[in-house]
Amino acid sequence: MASAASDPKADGAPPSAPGADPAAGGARPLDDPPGGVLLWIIVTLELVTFSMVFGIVAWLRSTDREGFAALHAALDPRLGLALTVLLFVSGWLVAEAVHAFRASALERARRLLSLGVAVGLGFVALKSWDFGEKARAGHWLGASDLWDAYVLATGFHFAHVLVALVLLSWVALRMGRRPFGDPETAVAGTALFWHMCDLAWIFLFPLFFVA
Amino acid sequence: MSRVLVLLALLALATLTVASASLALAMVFAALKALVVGAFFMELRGANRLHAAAFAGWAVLVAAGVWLLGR
Repeated sequence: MASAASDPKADGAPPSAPGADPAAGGARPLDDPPGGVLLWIIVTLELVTFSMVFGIVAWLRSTDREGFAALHAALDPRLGLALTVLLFVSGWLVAEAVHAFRASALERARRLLSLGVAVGLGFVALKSWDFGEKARAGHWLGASDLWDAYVLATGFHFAHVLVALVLLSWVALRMGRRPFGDPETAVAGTALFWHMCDLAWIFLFPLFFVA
Repeated sequence: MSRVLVLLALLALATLTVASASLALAMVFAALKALVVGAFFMELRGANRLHAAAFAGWAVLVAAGVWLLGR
């Protein structure tokens, strides 16, 4: 992170030091993870928080089996799969954008980031529709502990998705036009935050959509 | 090409998760997906080994914890 911050190029491209792309091989020092230390601290705190959410939902599943059966019957696994596919495709596009950025292919990186944001907006649209449908069916806060858990847990994740999409859009708009003060944190770090949303959904998805 | 395979593997694991007959199996797939995302999307393949090990430990611990609490 520090080396990237001290050597930003005028066009916002990353430093072209050999091995700048972690995927190209070679272990990095402990205090220089891909995406920067700051974002990893944030991601770690978020994952710890999400882990507690997973634990609460899992405990509710096991203590109220009838309630979970009713919740599961009202959830369509195809919706869960579609939401997962949208997140994975978007995550893949963003990861490809980071590789392109590190190779100084800024135009390709911006295109991939924009596509990633567009697919991410597909997740937002589908999840918003899901929230609307559940609210109309009375499956909302106050309906039961498990419906509270569904709305709050997926809503908490949804809020993170919105924040990540705003950050990714900002990076995409700025890339190649104005220099980043710290390119590693701005590009790889923002991507890292987006992948954290993937990780949280990976565990939320089976907790609610698998019997 | 290999990065496309990563995406296809994730999509296959997601499909297998939906078809899972038990929470235990779903958590195995979830841990695998988390490890793939960590290694390839979050670039932990090229990170410090301690960093990568801590992430892998978290993924396995969460999957096991969810299974234990939710079974």
